[in-house]
Amino acid sequence: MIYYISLPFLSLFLIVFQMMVADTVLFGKIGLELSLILVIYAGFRLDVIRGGILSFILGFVRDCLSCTISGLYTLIYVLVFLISTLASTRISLGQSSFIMVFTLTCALFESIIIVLFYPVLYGGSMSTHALKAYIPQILMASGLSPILFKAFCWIEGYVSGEAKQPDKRA
Amino acid sequence: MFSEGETPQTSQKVKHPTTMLFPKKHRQIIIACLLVIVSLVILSYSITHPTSVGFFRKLVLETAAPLANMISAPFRGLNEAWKRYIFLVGMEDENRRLKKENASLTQETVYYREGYLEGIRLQKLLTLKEKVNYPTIAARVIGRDQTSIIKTILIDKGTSHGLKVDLPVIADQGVVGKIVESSPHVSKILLLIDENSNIDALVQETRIQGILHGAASMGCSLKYVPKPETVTVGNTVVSSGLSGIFPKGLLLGTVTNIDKTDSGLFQKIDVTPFVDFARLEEVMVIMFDKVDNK
Repeated sequence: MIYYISLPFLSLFLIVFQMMVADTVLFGKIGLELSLILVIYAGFRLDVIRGGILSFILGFVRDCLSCTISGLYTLIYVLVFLISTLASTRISLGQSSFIMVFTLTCALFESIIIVLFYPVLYGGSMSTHALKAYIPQILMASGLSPILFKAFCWIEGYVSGEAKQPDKRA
Repeated sequence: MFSEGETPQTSQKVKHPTTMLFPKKHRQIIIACLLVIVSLVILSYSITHPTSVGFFRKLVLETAAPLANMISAPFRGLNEAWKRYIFLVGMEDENRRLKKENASLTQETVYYREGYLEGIRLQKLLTLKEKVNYPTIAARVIGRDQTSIIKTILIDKGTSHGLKVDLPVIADQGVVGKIVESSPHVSKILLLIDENSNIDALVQETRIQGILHGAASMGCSLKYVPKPETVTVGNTVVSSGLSGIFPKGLLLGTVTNIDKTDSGLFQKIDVTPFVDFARLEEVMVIMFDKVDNK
């Protein structure tokens, strides 16, 4: 229960944190996709209910803070989580290179969805400049993913306790 | 990343009370579908009602503001420190560049100021040229020898410009001297204050004539003025035009001292030339012909 109570606050903290980092450290030029990587991680490590709700809340919070309409990131994060969950039944995240490739694919998927939805949501085509901005963002998410996976794994182990750590995933 | 025992294929699912709401067999699919449907409903509602801001959205925004402030404080400090560091790194280069630019601009200012002052001087010469009823040639002072006994200057015009020996040279303040040597492109001017310089002069106020003799650093002295003649300090001395070298009426100097105590027949009159020879830069040569004058 503590997990579900703390989830909105932690999600809010994470989204605000990633926005602040992107704004101050990266000077707002590249978006930081910590939340997306967490969703992918959740897809491989958590059951559908826990991970699904986590993805849903993360997406909703992101929608509230960085999007003018609600539901876009919520949908994307839920879909990314489900894709990751499906992928986890077939493959395992044994190598950093695989994590990077998978994150790259998911980030690319996210960008494609946004680009596709943009005319529907805002009534105009996305500029080339905005499209170019996604490329470094995707590459950065891909590059950071192995480190962040390790960090999430460590946090998960720290929060849940070492004894429960190996068998979190359903 | 993960140990062999914890791969998704081998790990066991965590039983959760919420999952009891759905049939065990398809609960994962149902929950997944529910999440997607709810997301789509939120999205479609948001698209159809773009102006309406939901309660949860407001709540998130309200909560995010203080949290953002709290989180951004160390980032802002970091950012400021970084900017200051970058600023200091760039400062040395910028300082060097600005110093160079400053030197260049100072040089440019000096250049323009020189041009401005030269313009003023030339304007004065031009005014003088209009006053003098003879053809004139402007020349630039290119050298001076005033430390020795002989007080001369060199100008950048010579015989190829029509100059010749004995032509009078003036500046905007008055007479400078006369040409004593002339080559095709350079001429030497014997200054008024040189001890070899003797010019026929007269006191403008009293019309008393005399010879203005150069006295080097003392300026000049007006010689051969008889003691009974009245000359006062401040009288102006001009050229008389008698020698045929200087036209009549050119300013020479002003009387600064009169001494009649000497036992001779003449007064000792000190005259300070109007021209500041140390600051001469441009002069004007009067194409004064003795024959024409006669």
